[in-house]
Amino acid sequence: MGKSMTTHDVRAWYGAQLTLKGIDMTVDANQVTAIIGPSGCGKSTFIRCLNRLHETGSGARVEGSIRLGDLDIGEIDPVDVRRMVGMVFQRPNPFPTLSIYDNIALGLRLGGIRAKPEIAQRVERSLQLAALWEEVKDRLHTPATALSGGQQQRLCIARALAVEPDVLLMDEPASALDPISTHRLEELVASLKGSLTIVMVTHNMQQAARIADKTAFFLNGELVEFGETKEIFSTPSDPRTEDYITGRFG
Amino acid sequence: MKRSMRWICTTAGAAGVLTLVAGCGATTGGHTVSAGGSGASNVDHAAGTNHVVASRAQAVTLTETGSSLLYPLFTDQWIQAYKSVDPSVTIEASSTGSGTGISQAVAGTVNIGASDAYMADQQVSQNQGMLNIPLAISAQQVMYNLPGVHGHLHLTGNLLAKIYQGKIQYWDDPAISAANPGLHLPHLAITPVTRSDGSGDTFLFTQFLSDTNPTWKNGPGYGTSVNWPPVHSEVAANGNQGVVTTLAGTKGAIGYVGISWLDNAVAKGLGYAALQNKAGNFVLPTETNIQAAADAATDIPKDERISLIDEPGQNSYPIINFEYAIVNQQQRGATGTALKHFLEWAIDPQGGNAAKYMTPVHFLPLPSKVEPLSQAQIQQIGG
Amino acid sequence: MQKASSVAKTIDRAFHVAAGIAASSPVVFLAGIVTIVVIQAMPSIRFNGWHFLTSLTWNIGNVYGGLEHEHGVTAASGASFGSRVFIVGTLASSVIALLMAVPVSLLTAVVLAYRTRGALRAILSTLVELLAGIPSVVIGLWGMTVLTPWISTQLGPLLSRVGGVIPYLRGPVGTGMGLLASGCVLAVMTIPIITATTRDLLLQVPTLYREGGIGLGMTDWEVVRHICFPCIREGFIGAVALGFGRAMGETMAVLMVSGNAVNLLPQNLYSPTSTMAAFVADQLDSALTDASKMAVHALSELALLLMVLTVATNLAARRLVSLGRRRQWRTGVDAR
Repeated sequence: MGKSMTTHDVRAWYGAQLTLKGIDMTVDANQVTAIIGPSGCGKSTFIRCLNRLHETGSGARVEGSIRLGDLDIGEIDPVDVRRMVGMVFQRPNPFPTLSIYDNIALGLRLGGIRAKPEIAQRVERSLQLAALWEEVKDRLHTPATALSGGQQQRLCIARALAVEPDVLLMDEPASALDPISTHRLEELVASLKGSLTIVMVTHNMQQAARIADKTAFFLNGELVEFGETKEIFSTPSDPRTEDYITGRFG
Repeated sequence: MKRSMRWICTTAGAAGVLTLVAGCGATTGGHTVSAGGSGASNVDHAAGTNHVVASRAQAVTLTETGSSLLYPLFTDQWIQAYKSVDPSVTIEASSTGSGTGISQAVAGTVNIGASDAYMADQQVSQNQGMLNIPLAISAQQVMYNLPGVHGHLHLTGNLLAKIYQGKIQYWDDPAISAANPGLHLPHLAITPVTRSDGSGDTFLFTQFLSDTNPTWKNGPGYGTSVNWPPVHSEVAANGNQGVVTTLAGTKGAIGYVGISWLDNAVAKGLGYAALQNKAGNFVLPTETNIQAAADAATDIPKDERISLIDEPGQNSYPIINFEYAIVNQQQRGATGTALKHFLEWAIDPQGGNAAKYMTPVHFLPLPSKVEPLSQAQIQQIGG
Repeated sequence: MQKASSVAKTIDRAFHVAAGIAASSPVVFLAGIVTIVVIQAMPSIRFNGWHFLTSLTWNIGNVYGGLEHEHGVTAASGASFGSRVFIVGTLASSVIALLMAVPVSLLTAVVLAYRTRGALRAILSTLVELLAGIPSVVIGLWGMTVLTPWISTQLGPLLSRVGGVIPYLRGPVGTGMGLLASGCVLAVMTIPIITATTRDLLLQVPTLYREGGIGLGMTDWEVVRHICFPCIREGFIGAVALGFGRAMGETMAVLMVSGNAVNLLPQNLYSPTSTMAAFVADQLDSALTDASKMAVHALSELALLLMVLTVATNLAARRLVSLGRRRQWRTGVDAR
């Protein structure tokens, strides 16, 4: 089951440039939260802070506190944080030298699962959760790179789900996909709702409106508005949000 | 297929041209660098093209290469000194090794090939007109790293041969103790050190072993590099410098070192042995003992190609040798004259053989009865 | 106007000729060198036959004695040339060097590519590349004065005590000059090559792949081991092969620390040994005193053998490195 995440005064830098200017936000457990905003608004940086990935970048730095349930992730080994907070990236990135099966099994093996039947079982379950099982069950041991882009992205979701995280971060997961693949991905996210917490960055407002319970609007490194998706899109309280969703900029 | 064949043919042709060009380059280089110094084989060819240089007789450059033992004598002593004798003659010296000295003198690329060893019979008969002219007397000592052993170890050629054959492996071997009564020797493994590069020192040392141990004579024999018997503890080092460094770094090591390195090696804590001479006495490489050995040398042939190892006499030090200038007797005009004058000066007791030049490099002048023989050889230089 | 254009044409013609000569010179040089070495080696090939590869004894014969004739060629009496000692010495010292250099280089490359950034990475990279620029005689001198005494008195005795179960670690340590010392100096000389190549390969692994692993909760080591390394495997093998080629051809440093053993194979890790390159450099001078010239021909054959080995290694290395690069590129595209 998913956990909530709460951030308090999170500020992030790339070198000398402040890209997040103090974010206070609570992501509810087992819901889908969308983060929207124009390019460069800090939305990707924000979710990369949630699994402590931002700090691995060149010259990158984070301040403030982030809690996962009642844990302060700043005080946990980042490796352990990332096992609890999984991530799917803008472009599908299956491990290029591994088969479909091993792409998923690797995380399980590194997580300490040795028994082959258990690994096989969890690989299958993850692929089913990611709605990929039927398409790949006959070629599990072929290279993952031979899959189509949409399949690769679902494989990455399966890979993340296999280690049973509390939270799944998705950084514009459909941006490199065609409309059909995007549709299937949205269905998949909808089907996962309720079983874990999902935070999804998107520049596609329709997508946010379709699948998110709550939506946050970021602008210039600040959280402008955060609330129920319906309200954000119908009655935004901040004029900047209204300008953005009505397409006046961004 | 066809295209690649043509490419290969073109390349091969180009390579042929390159080889040819390289060949010409070497020949021309020989003429200019040595200012007319030329091997017997291309004298005719050279005479036609180079008489301009020959007629312009004022400035002559003589080139020398070879023995690293003779090099300091040339570069630190003789070259400077000879400037005041004949300012029109410039001498260029380089240290490359005795074998290179001989082969470059034969090829005609240098005027003087410096060598610690004389040319072999085969080489002499194949290259008519090559002279082996002794310039000075040198010697060699046997050195060892035995901390706590004071005084000079007594060693014989036979013992050394057995050490280098791997038959004697420890310093406290009864055979060594027998030669050193009263001396306490440690139970320490012997590390024989040889020269890895071709070397006049190896030539002398193996000659000494051949003269004193019949098995050695039939086995490795002697030469500037020999077929050393396989001994697992043995190491080989490059140059006298390398041998001294190896000896200094290895307890129980033994090796042979040119006399000009004696002070340097002793300063590094190495001892040197008193060697048994033909008369049965153990003698050190002192100036007196080396001179005694040189004076004892008899029956020196006209071409002066002879070993001075193990000369008779109560005090004669057993490992001494001539340091040779290897010279082609056919030299043209001004170069020949300049070369002749230089060599005459070099062996003159008042000139290059004076103690002030010899002592700093631990060489000794030629014995008075040898000098005329060298003089006679020098007179053969010319047309 | 007309005059200027004819001058321009002349310059252009000169340019074409000069460029043609310059461009063809590497091929011509290579062909020329190969031709000369082969021609020089021919008499030795006829004299020694296959024996050259198998025999342990290298004996230039008694150059102060007579001559002997065999297979239509002439050599000094008693001469026989076998290169097995040098082949074994070359391969063994190079392999020992790689055993040390490969892990060090791989880890250094990982640090340079992923753990350092900006100025620090630039400085460290430069230092590693400077290491490649140290003249080999300087490394040899260090080997002779620092390394071999240390092996002789400290490392050797320790290894032979601790690793006594492994046959090649047992036995007398001697002067410290030998296989291990040669391997060490060669490692110092190959590390920069392998490190620089590997660093470049690692930098080509897309960040997206690495983040995939990091995002899954892999440790730094797991990311390198399971993601980066498989991506660069061919290229890395190529880098190692480049280092191997360099190690086999190295002359001066090895000459100074190998102990230059002749006529016998190494007994253990500390035994004196000789390599092909060092032996050729060492023996050429006395080979020149051989009136039959067979000693020079035999050294040429040894040089030919070395050339064949290093050229083959280098070709294989280049092929693998470029395979590695292409694979990088391909997977990078597929991920889109």
